[in-house]
Amino acid sequence: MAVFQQLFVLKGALNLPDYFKKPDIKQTYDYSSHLWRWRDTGIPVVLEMLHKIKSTKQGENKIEASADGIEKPEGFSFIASPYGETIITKTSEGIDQSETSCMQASSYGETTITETEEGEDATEVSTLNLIKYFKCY
Amino acid sequence: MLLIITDRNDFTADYVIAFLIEKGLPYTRLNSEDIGDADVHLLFKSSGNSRSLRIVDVKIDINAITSIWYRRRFFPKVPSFVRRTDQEFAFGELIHLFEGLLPGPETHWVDYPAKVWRAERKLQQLVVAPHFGFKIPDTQVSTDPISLRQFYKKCDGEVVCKPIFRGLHVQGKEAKAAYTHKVCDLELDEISENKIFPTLLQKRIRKIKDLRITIVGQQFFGVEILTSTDIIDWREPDASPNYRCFDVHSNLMNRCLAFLKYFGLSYGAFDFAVSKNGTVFFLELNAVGEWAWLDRELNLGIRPTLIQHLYKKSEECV
Repeated sequence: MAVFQQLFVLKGALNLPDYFKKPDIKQTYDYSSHLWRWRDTGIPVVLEMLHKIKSTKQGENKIEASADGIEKPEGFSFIASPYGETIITKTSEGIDQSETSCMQASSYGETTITETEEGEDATEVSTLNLIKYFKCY
Repeated sequence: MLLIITDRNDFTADYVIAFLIEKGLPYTRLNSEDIGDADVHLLFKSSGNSRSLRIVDVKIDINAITSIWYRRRFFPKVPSFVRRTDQEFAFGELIHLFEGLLPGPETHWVDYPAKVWRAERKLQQLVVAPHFGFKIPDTQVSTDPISLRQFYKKCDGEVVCKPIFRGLHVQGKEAKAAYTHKVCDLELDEISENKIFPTLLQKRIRKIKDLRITIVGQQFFGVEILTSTDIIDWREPDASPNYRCFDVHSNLMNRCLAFLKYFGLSYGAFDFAVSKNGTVFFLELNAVGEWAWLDRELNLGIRPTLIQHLYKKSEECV
């Protein structure tokens, strides 16, 4: 009878609970510009990210115009993922990082999106839920 | 015309495209998800060929492509009208269709897939790195538990384990991340006495900082990554790294450039660890490594540099 082993390298591997999370229905991929846009306003999601975004106490996001490259956005940031790929993280001051949920994709420089907005309905406030369905190469 | 090969979820591509639009630079984007549904028109003749795709209402004229930014490999979604039993076969057909219709290495690729694939093999990197003057941590890959335990003892228990390929592990509807982690006695005692699956152990570097050096063409972007000393992998969720720009020493620059040249790459993101006595250890090269988070964090200017590099004429970049 075959005896199965757990791979040694996978001991202690951490769960990525939201890996298979469905996309934010408020965003749509625009084939003419090849950018993700908000369905209601048509504004590219990335442009919003490049501006200063402040979260209110109610968890609503306000966009405040700022010079690109001068001030980094407070609401969103790129961070490094486990595999060298981009994670886009929505962070709020004081949020426990252990609450962070993480989603990520492939092996060749993939994008990961992490949300750290605590206690909020992700489908309502997730402005960077860009990961659609994930692939493993 | 620049072609970006990626998938829809690549937000770094959006980050670059926003800038391309602002600058009025021509580009198009080919996402893995879309190629299964693309309208394809290829005509090959002795006198020449025409190659075009249409995805939704966007036409991509392959013959007009002058440079390609290769972000992610093709992973086509097979159209739903293909019978389930034929899906795997169809997948292979689509891969070869799209990889085959694209221009060859004579076009300005950043970087050419075959070169990227080779460069991404961590064990290859460990073989090659010392030839370019890089110091690497002692590393053992073995299927023999006794041998792994001996290595562990030889390193006084200061050993980490890391994947040979990548850290993402998807199992059904569960996904996990395997970070580089410290190996403990107990873990090694628990493993079978018999042959085990190939496992990579590496001597732990007691580091004072990590370095991420991103190279675009001939431009260097050095970043020191500072974490608390007990953190092994700065990508861990609890690592909370701090980033700081630094000037890369010319010696290290030359080694990195030579390493990239060996693999035929013009872009790369190197990871190093600096030990307490100042020794710089090569950890790995990420051939399509990410950079946008650092660009935003430190305002490094990688994005405009990359764009400039992508739009260089192919002959300048060979």
